[in-house]
This record gives sequence, structure tokens and C-alpha cells, in this order.
Amino acid sequence: MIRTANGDLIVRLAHKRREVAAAQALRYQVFYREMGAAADLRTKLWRRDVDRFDPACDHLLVIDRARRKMPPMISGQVVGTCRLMRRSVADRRGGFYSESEFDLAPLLAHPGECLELGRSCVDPDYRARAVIDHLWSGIAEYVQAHGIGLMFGCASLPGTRPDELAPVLSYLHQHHLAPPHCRPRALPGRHVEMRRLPPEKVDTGAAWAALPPLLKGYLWLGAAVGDGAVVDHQFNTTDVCVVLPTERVTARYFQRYFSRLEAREAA
Amino acid sequence: MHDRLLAGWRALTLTLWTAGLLLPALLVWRPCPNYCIRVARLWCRGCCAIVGLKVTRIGRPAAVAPTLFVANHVSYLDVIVLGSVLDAAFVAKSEVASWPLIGLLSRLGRTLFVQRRTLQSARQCDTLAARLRAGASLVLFAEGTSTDGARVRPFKSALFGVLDPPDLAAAVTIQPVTIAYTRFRGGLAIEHALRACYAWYGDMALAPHLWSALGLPGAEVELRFHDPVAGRDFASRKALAGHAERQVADGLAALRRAA
Repeated sequence: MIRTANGDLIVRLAHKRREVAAAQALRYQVFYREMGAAADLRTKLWRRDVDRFDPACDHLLVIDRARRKMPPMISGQVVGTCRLMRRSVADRRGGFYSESEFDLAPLLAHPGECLELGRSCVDPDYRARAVIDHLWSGIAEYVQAHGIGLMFGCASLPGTRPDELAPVLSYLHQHHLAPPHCRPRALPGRHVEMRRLPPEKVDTGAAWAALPPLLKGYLWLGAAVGDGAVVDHQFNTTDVCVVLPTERVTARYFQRYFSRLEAREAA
Repeated sequence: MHDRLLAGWRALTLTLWTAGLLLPALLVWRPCPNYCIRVARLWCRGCCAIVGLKVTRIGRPAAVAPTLFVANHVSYLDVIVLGSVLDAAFVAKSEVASWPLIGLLSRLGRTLFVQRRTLQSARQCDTLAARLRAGASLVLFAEGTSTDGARVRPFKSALFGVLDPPDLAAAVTIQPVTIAYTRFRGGLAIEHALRACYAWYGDMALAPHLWSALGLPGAEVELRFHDPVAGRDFASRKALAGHAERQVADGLAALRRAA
């Protein structure tokens, strides 16, 4: 269904077990090898990041078809991935991944379909705009196809010491806090205060520059963050909950990509 | 740890591979026994590939026949590992002959069966000796049992009794071989509790162990071929067993250090 081509990069959903495994292998490379998440034996043995939500989720892949042609295996060609979970799927599976860290009740009170984004990562050799753009265009098409009104997910900041992340957390809370009617809250036992610095002490420009690219992408699209951060020791990160009503997205990426899509279809 | 789909797929391909080679092997079994060992070697190579065992050879297997290869024993997988690089028949305990399918396959691979308790009995040695005199090489797991692969058990000197006749002591080359399952495909070292993933010892049940081994990523297996020696250079079979054991144990220690 989702198939956007641009040169050798294509974005589409994983259809086969092998393709999901390739996405999990990329996640392992990024989360465990690069960012230092703590791997259990099973993860080390297979070199894949697998969790219990994977079988239920859709996996969006950015594939570079020109990469490692011999042998022509999908495993070396997945250069970006992200995991998509719809509410209708989550209900059957006993909840969203983010519910282990955040209270999503305000979001889920909204009627209609919503989508959790998670486990997004890009191969270190492909950290340019193009891959993230492809991921977003895939997400945009998915959102359109399933009539999704609201997206959310955990975005990770590297490191588990909130004080070292104080400028970034304070900046996010100050400038990007979600309105109360759709503001998730970190679970009481895991809540880490984001307001760590007084407003006048936050250097906005420096804080923005310090944000990870994926979170920047979210915010640039008009996303907001929930209240409170959560430290994830296993993944060696500090997570914030990001909320993104899709009508905001339509205004930017969607427009850009759909105009491109329409142009191609018209041609 | 265990991937059931992968295990199922491998079990299926193993079955097909075995079935496919069974007919040719049965056909050449009687008329041309030596050709049978070639088929067995091909079968072993295929099995290694299917199970995901990557075999690395260090040193060179003795090219002269007859050679008695003396190895340590870690798992039933040793048979396909050694069988994939050696044109030699195995010496196995007699129970194996009665195991369904495995008994048939071992016979097709020209395996010699011995009763462990009464190895010194003249008749047993005669079968082995006859095979060696005919110029065929043999593989002997000299510990007399399998281990977890962390160390080598004392070699049973009684098993070397086959070399007692002077003509065999002069004719047969003896080569100690170390076999070590060092790491999983992908790099995780096979150490401590993980040894039982591929090592099969004690009173482990075969079928569940095979099923779980099939569902693992695969392993790198290292075969260290030590310098061949001649039987007549040793004063007694004890001295020969002791020498082979030291070589194999030192080889294992070196492979474990390198891993």
C-alpha cells in the first residue's frame, strides 16, 4: 500500500517475517550497539531488538535498494524503520507500549483512531534528511489510509541523568507543552520533573540544537510534549511523550508529499 | 532464545536432505562401500550448513590412510562436523546401532560399533583392526563419553588397544583432533551455561536438545588438527593415550583463550 519511491530509497510496510527481522536488526544496531541499551541474552544471541508488541504492529521500512546487492538480502537494505500501532490493534493486545511509562487517558478519551509511533531509528550511514523525510512520508500515507486523528509516542533523549538534560527538558516544557485536554502524564512512580531550570536560564537556541533529529521533526510538524519525563534504564535514555494531532501534519509534510504523489500519479 | 519457526524449517530441510541422499547411499552401500563414505561426507556437509555450523579447520588432516583420528567429544553434532572434513568412519558405542534412523545412517556411513565394557575382547579389536588393515581411516572419541566442551576428560587407553598388533602399530598414523564450539553466529561466546546449547552430555534427552539446537542462530566450530604421530614411537598404549590427551587438551585451552 505504502510505496513512495525517490531514487533508490523506497518506503513501505514490512510484509514478511524476514523484513520485520531486518527492522529489528537495525534497531539492535542503533539502540544497543550505538546508544548502549542493556541487552539480555536473547537479544545478544540473535542481535535483534524484539519486544512483545512487534507481532501486532506494522513496521515501516525505508529501504535502499542499491545497498549491498550481493547477496540480494533485505537485511542489509533496511536503513530506517519505525513501528506503528493503531488503537484498534492495541486494544486487542492489552495496550500501547507508551502506557508502561505514561498515563495516556487524556489522549484515549478522544474518539477516533489514534496511532502510536515508536522504535524509530535510522542507520548511522544514512543520517541525512532524506531518510527521515521518507519515514514521515510513509507515516503520512499510513495516517491518511487509516483515518488517524492523533499520533503519539515516546521520544528518547540520550542519557539517564535528568540533570544533564535540564536545558532540553525545561525548554520542551516551556515551549511545547500540550494543552491540558490532550496532555499525557508520566506515571506517578516514574515521573521525572521537566521544569528543572527557571525560564530565563534556558537558552532556546542551544536547547533546540541539542534535540535529537527525530524529536526535532516531530516538533517542527507541530507536536507537543506531555508532562513529565521517564528514565528508561534499559535503553539508556530519558523519554518524553510526544503528541501530534494529524491536522497539523497535513499542513506541512502531508501537503508536501501529497502534492508530490499527485503530481506523480497525474503524470 | 529459541526460534521455533527456524527450528521447524531446519528440521524440514534436514529431513528432505537426508531422504534425498538415502536412496543413492543405499544403492552404493553393498557394491562400493568406499563410495558410501563420500556420500556420507556430502550429507554431513549439507547437515552442517542446514544446522548453521560453520566449520573452521586449523592444521591439516593427515592425508595418509589408514589414520586413526582421536578427538574429544562434545555433542552428536561432532559427527557431522568431523564427517564433513574427513573421509573416515566413526567408532561408536553399540547402543547407537539400535537407535531408529540414526542406526541406519551410521551404518551407511560405515560406522563400527563396539561394546564399551568389553572393548579389549579380541573380536571387537579384530573388526577395528580389519578395517584399518584394509586401509580405511577411523575416528575415535577417546574420552569414551561426551563432555560440556570446557575441558577434556582422560582418554581411555583401552580404546587404543586396537593398535597393539605390531603390524598396525607400524602402519597406522595417529592424529589427535580438538573440537570446540567457540561462538554463536553473530559473535556471542559459547561459555558457561550456554555450553549446553550445543554440547550434549550427561543424561540429556536427544530429541529436545536437537530441537532447541535447531532453533539457535548457529555456531562457529573450530577443528584443530594436531601433528600426526606413529604408534610405534610410544612405549605403551597408555603413553600414546596420554600424549593424545595432552595435545587435545592444550588445543582446547588455546582455542578457548583465542575465542
